Amino acid sequence: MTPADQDPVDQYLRRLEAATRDLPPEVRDDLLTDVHTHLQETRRRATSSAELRSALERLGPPEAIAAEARGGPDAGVSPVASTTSSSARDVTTVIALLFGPLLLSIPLGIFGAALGWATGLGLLWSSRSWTAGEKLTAALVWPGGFLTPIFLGTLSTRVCTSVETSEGVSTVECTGFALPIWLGIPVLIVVSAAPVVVAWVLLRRADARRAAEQRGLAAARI
Amino acid sequence: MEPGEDRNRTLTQLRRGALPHCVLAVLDDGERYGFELVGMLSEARGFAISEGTIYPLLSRLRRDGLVETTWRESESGPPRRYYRLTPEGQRALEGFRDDWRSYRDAVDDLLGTGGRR
Repeated sequence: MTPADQDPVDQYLRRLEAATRDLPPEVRDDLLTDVHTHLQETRRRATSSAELRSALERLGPPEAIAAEARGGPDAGVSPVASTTSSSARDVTTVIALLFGPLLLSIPLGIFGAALGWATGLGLLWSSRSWTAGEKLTAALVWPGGFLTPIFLGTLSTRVCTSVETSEGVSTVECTGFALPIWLGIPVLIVVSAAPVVVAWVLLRRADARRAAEQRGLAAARI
Repeated sequence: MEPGEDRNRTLTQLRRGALPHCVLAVLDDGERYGFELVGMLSEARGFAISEGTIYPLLSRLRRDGLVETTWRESESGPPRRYYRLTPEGQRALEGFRDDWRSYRDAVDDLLGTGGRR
């Protein structure tokens, strides 16, 4: 019998193992088991080494099997081609959500703010980069993007007037509403930081998902 | 369109598109084990596929719930993994049969390959 390192079946399996290292473990194990079983059957039926070799040829190069497991030969084309556009799109979405309301509110006031945010939301909801949960989080965490903290900062409607009473004593009377300073500052920090954190998480997840898709991890395509 | 490379690519894409449902169709008569199933597909005339690439496809069909598998001992040789259609796989196959018929007829009409010369 030939030594193991020269046995064509063993060589074939080793090449397949090497070619599939980047696959998710459960997909890889499944594939290696199937091909191993196939080769055991092949070996059992082959009556000559020439027959065995031709059976291996019919099986095709291990690298082609690995490519198919990653999503087929065309998988490398479409996700890669769409990467740049969808990544640029993700960034646009996040920027629109963060700054759109603020920027458009300068020339257009409240209408501009609404328009800016609606644009961001439209981009967000029509995107395929995020799950419904992530979209909802994004929509809820930054209503109005950076406009919200700025708005909250100027929310104080407190108006104080000095009133001179008939006795000649002046008292200060305040009307309106303002957050107490001890609450206002933490709230302002959280409200300002939340959109940034969510933006970062969203972009990271979209990138991770695209990378996974390219590795053929994404939901099976038929 | 250039003959040669483009022609090959068109055929490859057609085959790839139809292959998953051809796998389901082979299982329509009952369960098959991997080696046997792969052999039946590669023997089909004009299919010209590498046998090995059917395994990732089978794995995908299983993850999608269109086929299910059981390991069983064989009388002569290694244990075999049997594949069979799930009800969902059966429905997918029926659906594709309808789709394929109308698609084939439409292409035949356009190409003038409908048989009536």
